[in-house]
Amino acid sequence: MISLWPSTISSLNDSMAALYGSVGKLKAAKSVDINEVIEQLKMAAESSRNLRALVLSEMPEASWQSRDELDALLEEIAKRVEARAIEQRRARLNTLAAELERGNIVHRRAVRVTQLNQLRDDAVKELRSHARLQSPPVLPGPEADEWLEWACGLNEPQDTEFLKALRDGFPHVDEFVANLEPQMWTLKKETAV
Amino acid sequence: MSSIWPSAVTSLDDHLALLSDSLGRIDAARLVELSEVIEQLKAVADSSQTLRGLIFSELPDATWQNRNELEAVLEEIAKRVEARNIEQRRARLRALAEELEGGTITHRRAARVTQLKELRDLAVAELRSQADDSAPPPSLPGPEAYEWVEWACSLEEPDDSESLQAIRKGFSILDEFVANLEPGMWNADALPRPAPQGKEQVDPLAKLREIEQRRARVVALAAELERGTITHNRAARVQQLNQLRDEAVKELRSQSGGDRAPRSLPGPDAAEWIKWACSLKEPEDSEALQILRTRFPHLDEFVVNLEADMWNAGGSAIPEPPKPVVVATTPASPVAAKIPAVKAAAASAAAPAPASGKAATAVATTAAVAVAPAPEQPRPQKPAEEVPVVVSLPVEHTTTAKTATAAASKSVSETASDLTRRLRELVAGNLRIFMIVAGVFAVLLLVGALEWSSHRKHTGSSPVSSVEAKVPDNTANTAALTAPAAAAPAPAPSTEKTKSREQATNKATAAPQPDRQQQQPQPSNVLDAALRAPSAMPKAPAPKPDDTSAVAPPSVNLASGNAISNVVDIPVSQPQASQQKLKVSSGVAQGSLVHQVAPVYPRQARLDGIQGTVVLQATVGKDGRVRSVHAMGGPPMLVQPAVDAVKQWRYKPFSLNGEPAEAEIQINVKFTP
Repeated sequence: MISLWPSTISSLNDSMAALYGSVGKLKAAKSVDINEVIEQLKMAAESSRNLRALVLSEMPEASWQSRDELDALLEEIAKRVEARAIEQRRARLNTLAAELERGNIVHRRAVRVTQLNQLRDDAVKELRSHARLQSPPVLPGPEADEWLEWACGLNEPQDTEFLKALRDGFPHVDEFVANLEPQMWTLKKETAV
Repeated sequence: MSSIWPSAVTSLDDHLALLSDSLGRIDAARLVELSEVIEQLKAVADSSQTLRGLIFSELPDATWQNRNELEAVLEEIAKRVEARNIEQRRARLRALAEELEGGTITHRRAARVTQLKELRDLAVAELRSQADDSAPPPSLPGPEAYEWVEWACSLEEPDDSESLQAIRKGFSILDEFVANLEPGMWNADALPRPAPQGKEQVDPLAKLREIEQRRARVVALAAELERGTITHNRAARVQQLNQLRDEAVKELRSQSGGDRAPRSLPGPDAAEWIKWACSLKEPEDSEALQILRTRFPHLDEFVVNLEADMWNAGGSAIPEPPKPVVVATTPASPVAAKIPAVKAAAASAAAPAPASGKAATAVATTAAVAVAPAPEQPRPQKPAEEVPVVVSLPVEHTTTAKTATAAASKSVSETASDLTRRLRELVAGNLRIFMIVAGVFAVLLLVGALEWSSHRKHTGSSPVSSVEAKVPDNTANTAALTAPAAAAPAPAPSTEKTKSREQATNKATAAPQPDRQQQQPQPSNVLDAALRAPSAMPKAPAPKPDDTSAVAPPSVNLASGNAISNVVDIPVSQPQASQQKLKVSSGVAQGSLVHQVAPVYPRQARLDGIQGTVVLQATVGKDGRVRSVHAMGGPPMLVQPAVDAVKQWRYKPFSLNGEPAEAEIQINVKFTP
């Protein structure tokens, strides 16, 4: 089973399982609460309708006749979505790298500025290096223009999860933002064209 | 799958199949009409509940958890039900055996009753044997035992082939019994019958009144049927219908008699009933026809065969002379009652039981001769008798008798008148004298013939005018057809007698009499006239010395029921010295005919409605074989079949002066579709 739309698919599977259980009882001429079975049927029908809508939203031209064909279709959609997510991750890394390059570091000590610029360069290299990977790691946090502010605002132990993900996936970026204070970062003025 | 309650199980499975299909669509995220699926689900639930209820009705303590266990439960129940069904079948067979034993069989013939009782006993034994057999007995189709015999007797092929096959296959002796049993023969035992369910108690008096009304209706119709007469242009058809009518009357009488309530007769009152019944049509009147068929099969059979225009209610049908054949309904017909003398003569002729049919024939023939001179009187109906005989009923006399001298004619007329008078006296009661006179008459004829032959030798031959007799159907009853011409007909006691009379007539004709040329009417003519019952006899025949008598030719009956009617019309001719060919009269020819072959009626001619009489001139060799046949006239398509047939005819060799001689005869072969 694919991981796409797990709740929808799970909901359908669960309601169908309950429904088949009731139908099995009916098949064996055992007593059932028909109203309960009807509710199960309605739930299953709703899950089915949702899943169908999702499939068609991803592949408007999709058509299928059975559950097996649906599963195959979902696999196909999953691949498409996965490829799209990778591209999104890659684009995000590249955008952040560009954002880092675009800013300026200000500090009262030139050595410190040099040191931070070096860290920034390493971070940019790291981001671009990861962006070139087949499956780039997921960079936590908001979009690039808000990212440094968000990253500098992370505190331990509250943001341990993000910090850990950052530290594990992007150690140079983590090293850079660990040394950077929000007031040190200024964006270069756009050159008027 | 269990074999019990197949409909409940099948219904559940069918509904489940539909639901499963819909659930599969839901599971595959396909479009479904939810309301339809809910209905399917409810149908499954209903079927499931029904099956569950059935199971608990059979096995209240049954338990199961899944479909496999359910199947096992159903198998168990199936065994129980099958065992119970077998017991029910056995009980049914025993009940029917008891019913058969309790009933009685009635029939006019004791031997038939005995035979049917034996069959019944065997059927009872068969039923008990099947019931007691360890093997499951075959299923007996039909209703409960108390209705079974009536039901079985009403089965008809091919409509009820399935039931009949089931009875025949499983209960061959029982089938044999009911095949031989007519509903009217069976009187069910007065065993207590189950009261009809769901009906209110009927007022016994009202019930009795209704039964009496039914009985009165049935009796009235029987009387109406007996009173009426049937007309048809074929005597055989009349006889057939009369027989059917008799059976219908018997059936009605059987219903009206006895202790059992007669069945309700559909339709109007008796006076209108036949008209009504003959107007019933399928499918519009299927219901009434079905009731009639089931309750009164013989009556139904009668009206099925009867056309409305054949029926004359109340015995009023005394046909006009040109009409073909009218046969009275019963011996007690009003018309017959008007001729007690005839009846007395007939009775007296039959009562002494003449030693031979020939003697009786002589009596009958002579009686016919005696009463012949009264042709103007209305034709009475002949009592219905099954006597398919040779009939010659001239409806027109085409030839005037040209014979003999006036003196001779007068002499013979006087003789005939005298004989007639005497015969009338005889007919009135004295059979013995009657028979003596008949004998004397025959001797006179013989002597006359010898003298005539001698006279002819001296006077030479003379041309003969033939008398053509046209007969609608050669199967008509001679007596029936003869009687109308006579005031007091003497019904032929039997077919043999009639035939013998015909032969006697022929013999009389064959014996040439000199008086024939001199007397009018001559005795032989009187005979023929009596037999042919002409509507108008020639009143003033111009005497011709060379003419023979107006010999009415006899008909030749080829086969009863044959569509072809052959009339052998053989003009009498006298032997010519110059030619050694004998011209033979019809009577002689008919009497000498020893082998006759019916002509083949060409199919196309029949389809095209071609009919008529083929006139043939045939030469019979000395050996009695037909040497040559020449067509003198008739429908071309019918000539060859007539020639072909006549060529195969054989006669006893004719003789002239004691020597074998060739003979010339004229034969009329009539074809009627």
